[in-house]
Amino acid sequence: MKLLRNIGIAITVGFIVTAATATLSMIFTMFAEGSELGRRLTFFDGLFFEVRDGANGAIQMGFGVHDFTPIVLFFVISSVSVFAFLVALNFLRGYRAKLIDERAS
Amino acid sequence: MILNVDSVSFSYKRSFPVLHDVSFEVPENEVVALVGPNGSGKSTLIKLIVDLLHLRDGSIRLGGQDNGSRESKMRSMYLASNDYLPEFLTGSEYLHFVASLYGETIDRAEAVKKFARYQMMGRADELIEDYSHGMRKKLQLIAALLLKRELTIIDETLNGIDLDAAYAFESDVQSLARDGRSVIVCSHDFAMLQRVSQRLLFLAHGFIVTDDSMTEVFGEYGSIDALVRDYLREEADELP
Amino acid sequence: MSFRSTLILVRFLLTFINRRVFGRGILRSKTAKTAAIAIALTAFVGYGLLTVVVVRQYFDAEIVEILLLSGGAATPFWVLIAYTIVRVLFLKADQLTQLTFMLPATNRERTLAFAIFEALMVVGASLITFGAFIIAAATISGFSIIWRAVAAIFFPTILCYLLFSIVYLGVERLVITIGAGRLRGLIIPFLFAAALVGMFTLANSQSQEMLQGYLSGQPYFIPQLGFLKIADSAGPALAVLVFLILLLALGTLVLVAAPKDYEPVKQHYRVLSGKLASSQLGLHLLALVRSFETLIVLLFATLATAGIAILKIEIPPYVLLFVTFQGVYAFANSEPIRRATPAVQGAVASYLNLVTAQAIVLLVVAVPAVAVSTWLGIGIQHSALAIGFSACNILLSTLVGILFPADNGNPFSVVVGVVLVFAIVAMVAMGLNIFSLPVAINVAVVVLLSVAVVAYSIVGINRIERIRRYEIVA
Repeated sequence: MKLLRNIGIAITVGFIVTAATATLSMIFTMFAEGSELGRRLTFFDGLFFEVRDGANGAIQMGFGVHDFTPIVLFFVISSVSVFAFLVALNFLRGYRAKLIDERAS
Repeated sequence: MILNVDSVSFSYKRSFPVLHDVSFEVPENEVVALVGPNGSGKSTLIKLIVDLLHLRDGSIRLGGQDNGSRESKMRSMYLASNDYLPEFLTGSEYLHFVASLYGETIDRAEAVKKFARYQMMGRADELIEDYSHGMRKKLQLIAALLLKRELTIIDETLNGIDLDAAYAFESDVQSLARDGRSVIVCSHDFAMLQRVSQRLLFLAHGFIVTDDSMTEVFGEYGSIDALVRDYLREEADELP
Repeated sequence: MSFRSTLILVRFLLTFINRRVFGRGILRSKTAKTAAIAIALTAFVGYGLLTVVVVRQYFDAEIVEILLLSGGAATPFWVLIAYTIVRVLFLKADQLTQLTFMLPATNRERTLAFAIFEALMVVGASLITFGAFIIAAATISGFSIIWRAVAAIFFPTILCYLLFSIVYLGVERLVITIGAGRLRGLIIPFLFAAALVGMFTLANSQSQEMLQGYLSGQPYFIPQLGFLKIADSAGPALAVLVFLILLLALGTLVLVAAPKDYEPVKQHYRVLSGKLASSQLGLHLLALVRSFETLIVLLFATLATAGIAILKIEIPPYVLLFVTFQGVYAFANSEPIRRATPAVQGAVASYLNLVTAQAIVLLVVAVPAVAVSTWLGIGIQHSALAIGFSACNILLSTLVGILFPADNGNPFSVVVGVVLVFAIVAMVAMGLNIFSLPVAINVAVVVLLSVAVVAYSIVGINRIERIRRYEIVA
């Protein structure tokens, strides 16, 4: 049950961290790299941000996924890290409780 | 026996036990007075009996069944020391709500009589939010008197109610502890406890110091007050 | 009138916020607290960094000046928004106010303490909002911009806050005088809503006047920019002097306007039949509908729907979202139901009762709102989407109320929760948008996340109940 709960937490947090990091790196790229025409890659080359001339002469901006592999990898690594953190935390908590019990007895 | 408490120990923090190996029984048709200094473990013991705290050591049985069972919960009623009630309900709605939880119905005429007896005539249809502290306590008492559980536990609920209501309670609690029902009253009002109860449980530092009939207490000490004073004097003598 | 008592009260209120808001619910755990601080700091640093990048990349000294003037001109509007939020929160925090009654302080000392405490919160919020911009602007226009920002934004902010306090206390005094003091929980939010509409119109016309004046070089008069004008023409010392004189005058008026006695706010109104109290669901419905804040949002939603119908505004029924934010109080408001008897209700049953009661209210409000939208030509699929969003919001706000419980008349915890959850939801929504996944996958992700929200809520309730029974250590 505890294992299932930890896996659930790890996947949810991993997803949120991936979405948040992707959003932040996209926003940062959009503003930091200026408005010159062209395609820029961000988030370990997983996402792209593009500025191009539109048909009516106006500048058009677009963004999307360039390559899913780094995104999936990032999600897996974040989820595994959160899972490892939770397991370590549970172990340390158990160890602390054991020490307190030993001292009490 | 309505209640069997057997070798119950409890601690909130591992290193600080609150109750030590507490055992006692409550038979039918008895009002039991539970007394003890602040921090002696009275409220903890009561919360354990009504399963508001998780029992780790010992056993508690209500009517022969585990205190966590649904049957036990249906048999008992607990009147908390605070006046934390659903303020969004009126007094009469609260009574119907509590009754429905016990699978019972409230006799409206009887409820009106009780409201009048406790000086709350015409207030039954007001929101609890608009009740005073004393009125909330009285409402809790009325609920207990109408629902007549096998075991009613009153944890300092009487604090803050007026004299008329206190006198009414003294006679009502006697009739509540009849027909196989019992009541545990926890209070610091020793004079009232002497008038209503048949047995005394004195708890100190998490130990049962006294578990005697009121007749025995009167015979040996003359009053609950004298017993408590005697204990406190002995305790003070033992201090370095 | 003792300022010592006032300062002690301010310290008491700050301790309350520290212990009861930042030390309750999920924030009780050190790990969760550290994570929350880390999220907040990262968000702030990211926001600051982005502001600096944007300002340096796209702005010049003139644009910075226009932004400063616009920010200063808009002060009354956003201070009124902040004041409204703080006031509504304090209406719910009646118990906090009552806690201060045990202390040996007069009502005036109490009023002043609350005013200082609230002003600290608003100044803190404006520092967070404008801090990054001011630092970024300083790298373009020099350090003089810091001083000018103080004159253009911070001085008017503090004075506007005091001005609104005077109006609020005056209204409170008036409603108490006419014998409707306890109903102010219903009256005051509506007055603020009306004031916000008026202030929005005023702020718009002032901004236009300021912009036209600035661009054409014509003189214009915006009172809130007075300190900046004085500072620019006669030096900062005079601006500070004028500010201090006005601060003293308005501060005195706050004390004069404060009612001598406190009258508790009526938190519940007797609506719907008490017969509902015979079932757990009915009881949860009563707990929800009888509380004053639900009645306010129901009235707002009804008025907004009527307004949309009368003015024939073609928008989907997003007004429904109004009623779904009540979820943040749902768990705390139903606490007495869980404590009423020793019979322990399971976490799943508790949760189902909480959300079903809210869903019933949502559906009742949805019927006229969707009818109006359909009559105005909005497609039913748009209305369905609005209802779907609202349903998700019920789940989210209920989760916030469980993780950050607004217990014992402390509505401030939920603010922390709402901010954190909003930040996470916004990130996830933007992330999904960037990933440009097919609609079916997006829907699946939203459904999965909703399932996770439900699961965490149930686990949360279960944990709270077990901690209460000392089955597990917090």
